[in-house]
Amino acid sequence: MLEIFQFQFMIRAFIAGGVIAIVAPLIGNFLVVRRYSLMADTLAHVALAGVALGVITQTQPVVVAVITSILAALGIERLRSEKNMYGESILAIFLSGSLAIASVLLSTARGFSANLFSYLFGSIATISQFDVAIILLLGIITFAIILLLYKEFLFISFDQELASANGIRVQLLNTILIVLTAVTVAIAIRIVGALLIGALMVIPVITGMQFQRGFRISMILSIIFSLLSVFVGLFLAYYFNLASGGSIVMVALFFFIISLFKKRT
Amino acid sequence: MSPITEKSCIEVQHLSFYYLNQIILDNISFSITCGNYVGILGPNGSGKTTLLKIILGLLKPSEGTARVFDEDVAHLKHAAWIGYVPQSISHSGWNFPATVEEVVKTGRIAKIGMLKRWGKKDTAAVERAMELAGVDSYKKRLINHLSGGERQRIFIARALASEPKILILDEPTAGIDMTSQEAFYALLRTLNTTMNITILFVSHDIDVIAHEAKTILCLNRQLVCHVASKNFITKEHLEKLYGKKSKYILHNH
Repeated sequence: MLEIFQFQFMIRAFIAGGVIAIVAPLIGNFLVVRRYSLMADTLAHVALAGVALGVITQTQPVVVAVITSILAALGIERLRSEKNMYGESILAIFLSGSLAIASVLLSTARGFSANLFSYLFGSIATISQFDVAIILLLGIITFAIILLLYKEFLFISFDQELASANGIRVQLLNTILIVLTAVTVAIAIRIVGALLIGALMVIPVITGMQFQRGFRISMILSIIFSLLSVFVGLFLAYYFNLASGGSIVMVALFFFIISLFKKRT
Repeated sequence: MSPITEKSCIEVQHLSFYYLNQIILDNISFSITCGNYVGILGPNGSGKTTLLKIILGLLKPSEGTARVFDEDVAHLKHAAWIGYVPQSISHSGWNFPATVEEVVKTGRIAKIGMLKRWGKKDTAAVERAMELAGVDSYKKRLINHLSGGERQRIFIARALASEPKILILDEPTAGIDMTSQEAFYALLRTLNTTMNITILFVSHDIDVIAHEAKTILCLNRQLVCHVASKNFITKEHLEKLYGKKSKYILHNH
């Protein structure tokens, strides 16, 4: 057996990483086609504020991050549909606002700044048994919901107006999708880091789309590229002692650049 | 054949719509029998699209009612029975990375219902819709590589996938070449006569509407005319609709 798998923390990192590698691009496909790519980044910053809150109150940071990002996601949807504001401006407010909250909270918590780096860029050494359990549980739920509502999500993404005219519950589905985004972002923060989770939800998706094989096949391809990126990235992080999020995203970028040179068939 | 042939499929009564204190639709009443082919004419800003959106349940009327299959459109249970073909040219989703078949299948989704899976009947309906609209030869291609005429047929196929009883089209031939347009009108005729689908068609093209439709509604905030197309006297009705300038339009044809 490879030396890398003799360590419990590496096995935990691979399990958590595998779950996130499947769920992140699954959601990402819908975010990208709806021009919501920045939603993931915004919610990641909110999740970071949640982590800070979790650290200060000495509760479970991942759990607090999930809760705060779900609340923020609902708030964003509400503002978007009820107030007459530009979508990107709302995202900008939440993104920088929650970063401000996170920085204020963290400056009051002594001795945390050393840990901050791992939350920003991901870390393989700090994933606890509890984190893995939460990631597995929420990841499987998210995966199941997306598969169950796949056809509806595709419909509202392509033509929201017709979906609504056909009696599809567009508002409810929008809310479900955004809550799932919040959950995915929050559970990914451990492995990929708050600043880089957006990349894992977007880059493999765009890579998959370069093959021009339709939405379903793009989605399957994006999951394959994402899994490859996470596993290769985790190996690199372990052997060269790198921040896991950074190495994962660099592998994903590598696949993306290769896909640009692919000849159209 | 169908028991509802002579019943009215769409019933609009004293319908008004205001937007920001402006009257868009003013006290409109009409009824459309099942199996009819209705052309709606009207200048820009006459409320044609608003009227369609109310019938589709996308907008709520300020006053009055719109009923489809004898049910208020606000809580229409049979929403999937109405096929809608929007203006192809204005649709912003053509860069969407989906195949023709994937887009046509979305037209069936409401009929299947949430959390339910595709059945053989659904797949067959989608196949049939693609054949009728003539898109089956390019069903595996991505929608962003297609011409205007090809795209328009996708929207028709998508609307047909739900096996609708009513087809609502909003200026569907805008931006499409003449040859494609002719094939398109022939398809609508077939759907109307052989499959008994009620058609509601908004267009600027007066000649085509007068020629293709069975009934004509002229709309300019109010209902200016509601006549059988054979009784449509172009000059008289057009003057009401577009003002005296309409003479000018006629000379050009």
